[in-house]
Amino acid sequence: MTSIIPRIHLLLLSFFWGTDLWACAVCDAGETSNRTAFYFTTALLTFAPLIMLGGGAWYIWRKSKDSE
Amino acid sequence: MSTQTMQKPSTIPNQQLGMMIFIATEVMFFLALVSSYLVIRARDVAGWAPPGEITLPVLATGFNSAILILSGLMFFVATRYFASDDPLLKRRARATYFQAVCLGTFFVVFQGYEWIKLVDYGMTMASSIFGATFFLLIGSHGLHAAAGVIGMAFTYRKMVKGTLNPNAFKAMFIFWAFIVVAWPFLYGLVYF
Repeated sequence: MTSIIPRIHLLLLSFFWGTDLWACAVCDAGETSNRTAFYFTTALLTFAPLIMLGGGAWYIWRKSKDSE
Repeated sequence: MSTQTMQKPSTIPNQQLGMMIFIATEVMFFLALVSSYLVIRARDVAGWAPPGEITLPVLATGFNSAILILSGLMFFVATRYFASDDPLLKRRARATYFQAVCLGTFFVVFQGYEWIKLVDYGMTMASSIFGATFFLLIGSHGLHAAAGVIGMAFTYRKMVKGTLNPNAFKAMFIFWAFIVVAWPFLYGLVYF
């Protein structure tokens, strides 16, 4: 049975061989504007629910504080 | 021995809380559509425009946008009147709300008429990527507006009968406010 250690070393080394992929599922035009739109919308869809949850929690907290 | 318990009044009525959670999901739905629209539009290096010689009715839709905003304002005033204890203001609430429903209906009908014209000119969901994204985004809003108008009509009927729950009325207002507030963003994004 071969040792697993060389395989782990190989895996770790592979991290240094790689280059940036600029992976974007929808950027098939290769345009900067396309990539910018992708980043912008990703950020939008990431932060919008967090902002809504935070805003909702804050609103309920404020209402309950006012009703006390 | 009495086992009466003091029940604390809820911070937000169930109808309004339910509607707010629903609106949060709706916001995400529209943001997903806007995201796809922005990425597809940024990809189109040839120029983003309707197919052929078709131009979008920017002015007419601007007028229609003003009608929708006016409907939202009327609804807001109606909620204020309806919350009052004054019978005169209650009667005014009914008249004001009726105008809000009529203006909302006008928006939906006018929007439908515009789409029929666009389809007649050859702009459909299948004619181009512009048409597909246009009808998907604006059509989704139109569908919500139509559902809102139906909901408002039902609410108005209950108001006339005197069986309208004030919390349900406010929940309806939250939904319509979402329709009204979302529209200028979509209009600015798609029509310009």
